[in-house]
Amino acid sequence: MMKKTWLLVAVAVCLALGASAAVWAQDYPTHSLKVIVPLTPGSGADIAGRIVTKYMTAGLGQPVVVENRPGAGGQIGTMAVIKSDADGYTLMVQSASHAANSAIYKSLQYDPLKDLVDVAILGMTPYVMVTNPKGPYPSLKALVDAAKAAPAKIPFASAGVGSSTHLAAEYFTQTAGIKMLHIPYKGSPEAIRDSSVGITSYYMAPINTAIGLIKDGKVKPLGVTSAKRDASLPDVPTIAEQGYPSFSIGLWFGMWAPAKVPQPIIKKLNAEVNRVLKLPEVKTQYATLGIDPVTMSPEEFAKFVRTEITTYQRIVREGNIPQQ
Amino acid sequence: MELIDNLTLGFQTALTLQNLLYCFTGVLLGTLIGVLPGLGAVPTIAMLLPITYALTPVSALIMLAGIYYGAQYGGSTTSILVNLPGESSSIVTCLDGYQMARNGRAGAALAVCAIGSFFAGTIATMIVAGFAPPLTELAMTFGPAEYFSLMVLGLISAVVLAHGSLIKAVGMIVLGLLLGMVGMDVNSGVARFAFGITELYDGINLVPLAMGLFAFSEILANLEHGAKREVFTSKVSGFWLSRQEVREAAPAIVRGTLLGSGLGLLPGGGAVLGSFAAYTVEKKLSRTPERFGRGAIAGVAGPESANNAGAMTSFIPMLTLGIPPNAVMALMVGAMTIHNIQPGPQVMTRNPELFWGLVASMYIGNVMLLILNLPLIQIWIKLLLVPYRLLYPAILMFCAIGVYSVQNNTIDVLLTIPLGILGYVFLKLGCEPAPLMLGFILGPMMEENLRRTLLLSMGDPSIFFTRPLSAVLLVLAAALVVAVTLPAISRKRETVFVEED
Repeated sequence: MMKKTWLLVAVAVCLALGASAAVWAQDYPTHSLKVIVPLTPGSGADIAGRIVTKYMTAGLGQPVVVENRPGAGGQIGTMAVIKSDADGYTLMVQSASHAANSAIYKSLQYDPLKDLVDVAILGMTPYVMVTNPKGPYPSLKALVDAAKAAPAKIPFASAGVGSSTHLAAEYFTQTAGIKMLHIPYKGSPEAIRDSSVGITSYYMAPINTAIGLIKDGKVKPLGVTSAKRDASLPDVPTIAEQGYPSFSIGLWFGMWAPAKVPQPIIKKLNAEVNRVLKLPEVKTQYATLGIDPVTMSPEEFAKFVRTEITTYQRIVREGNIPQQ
Repeated sequence: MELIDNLTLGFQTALTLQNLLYCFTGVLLGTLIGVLPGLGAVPTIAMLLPITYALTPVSALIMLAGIYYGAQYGGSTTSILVNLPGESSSIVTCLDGYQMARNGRAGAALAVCAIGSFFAGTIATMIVAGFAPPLTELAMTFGPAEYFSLMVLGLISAVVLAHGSLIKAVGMIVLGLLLGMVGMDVNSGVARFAFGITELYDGINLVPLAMGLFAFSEILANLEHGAKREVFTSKVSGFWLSRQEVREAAPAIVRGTLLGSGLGLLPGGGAVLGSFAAYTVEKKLSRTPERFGRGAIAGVAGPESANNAGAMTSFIPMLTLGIPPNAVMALMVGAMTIHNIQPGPQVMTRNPELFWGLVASMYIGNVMLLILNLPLIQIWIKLLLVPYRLLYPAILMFCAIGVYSVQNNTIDVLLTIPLGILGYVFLKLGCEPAPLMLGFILGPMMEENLRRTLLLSMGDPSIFFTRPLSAVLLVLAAALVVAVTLPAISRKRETVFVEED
């Protein structure tokens, strides 16, 4: 008798919980949402996040407010998201550095796979290798040959030690079997600036920071890092087609939520992001930035994030990049 | 004349009723956030970005730009009235502006800020309109070696900032350098002096440091006398400048404008560097350097002109190349892309109404700011009549809000407590915080560029002397060392002679 009652109670509770979660997701959202971007305002992830959330407001019927919480490579903002209520009203938009961080930091305060749930990818963009248009490297081959002739002597720029631009460049040197001298900068603008005048040989620039300069001939593109040519720079060959067929790496932006956010809400958010990414207005805005509006289901995105983490861990290990 | 045509197009764009309205909204907001301590242009622009979605790109950029240069006007107000820098570029204005207020010349100090900023804004706008592309080329010749040498020059001139003991000034600069070392090392990625506090990985923020050392310490000192401060309310006079003051301020404004315009072009420069440099130059050139730090009007006019000029010319690399020289410009680039404009060299040719409309709006905005700020002076100086027991809690509250807004981070607010106490100790010991601030700002840039240069040259330091521009800067720095130490040597000789007598 006792057992039966317990069973009934358990069943009832389960039903009630399930029902309430369903109802919850149906009503969700009933008030405004906050999207924390753990990077500085104006960064690539910030801009992509602001474009997407601008149109999500219409679809969800509630305002979506972006808040920047920069610091420590995104760790501070990420921690803030993890510590917030798992009700689907606090979300995070971050870049590929979310995956790179777990490779580059010795001790992260959080587990990127367990403390957060992957909601949706917001788009992918390749890097483009840019160099001084009047400099000694008219082609990728010229650069690689020069690096082979003078190992670890030719400098290249990155946006910082362990930044995604550093890891992408490191991946290229590993693939090409060369050694170059790493010159870290405090962000993209200075790195691209010094590469455009030849102080450093090249910079693995996220396309949105370089596209204007490429079109005006202020920097010369040596190749894009995606497997296929990029729609915004159709004349620029891929690095893969220049003799490194396996080479493919890119920058991407994504949305995450605290781990315990119920699945129905995740599904709803994912559907909303994917709806927004198909809007023609978003496609034009993404095109100016050179971002490809790819869409993924939460499961596909989760799998993608795991593959990326493994890739970055391998790059860091093989490149002997000191962990922080 | 192509320039005339372009400017006509610009004014046609900027003078529409809608754009005038957004320009006014921008500069008004800018003035307000400038006055509110700590609350800076970056969080404000980030916060207001969504509001601009519905606007045309030109209107949006006109408004956002207005916020930035408007803040340069407002930033000096609290520096002068309560020794509290409203913006980091108004730190040096505290030195003489506050002293002027104590001498009963608060009105004149505020007026010279508005007039100097207007003059600087006008000239710098002309520079942007006429010489943006060639100046960009010039700024591009500045490599890591040149930066390092410029920072050396800057640090040595920091000694000049202090008006007391030389030893103490050097000590404060070194302390500033040390505080600047906190946080991630750019070359190795190792966090230094962070003590495991994640919030310190990116270093101590400039805003809590300035708030703590200037404002909070000042409040602590004032509270020594109970809730009454040695107020100068009775002596508050009008804002008309005396003929003597005009004669001293006018050349300072011109020099500040030129210096600020030049430094604004450089990455990381913007308005802050220009204001420090202008103060140094004024004090060095003055025939009465002993009056600096005691209410010299040139010490207010020069830096305030420089910071506005720098704010204006920092638009140049952003507009001509799409390479932002500071955080505000990075955000402007972001705002452009959200409005479907690809930042880069082709903005000038492909969106001429945007480029020239923005330039024209800057000029209009500066006129608006002058008209807005001169009458406001009467209101601001009334602030001095507010009883201190009401004023200081309000200041503390606004500071806390401002510090929090920089990175939405509570640790920054907490940091102001020890920094405020430290500032109070400095005050008691007669150590001035301004050289510390300059060390703090320049130190990390200097280290970064020194190590970058040496990495690039494979450890060969001769590169600093073989690159002509770098060599010139280092020679200037050496000359300054001689200029600073010579009087000390000759004075010592004088005393020797006196004793012999």
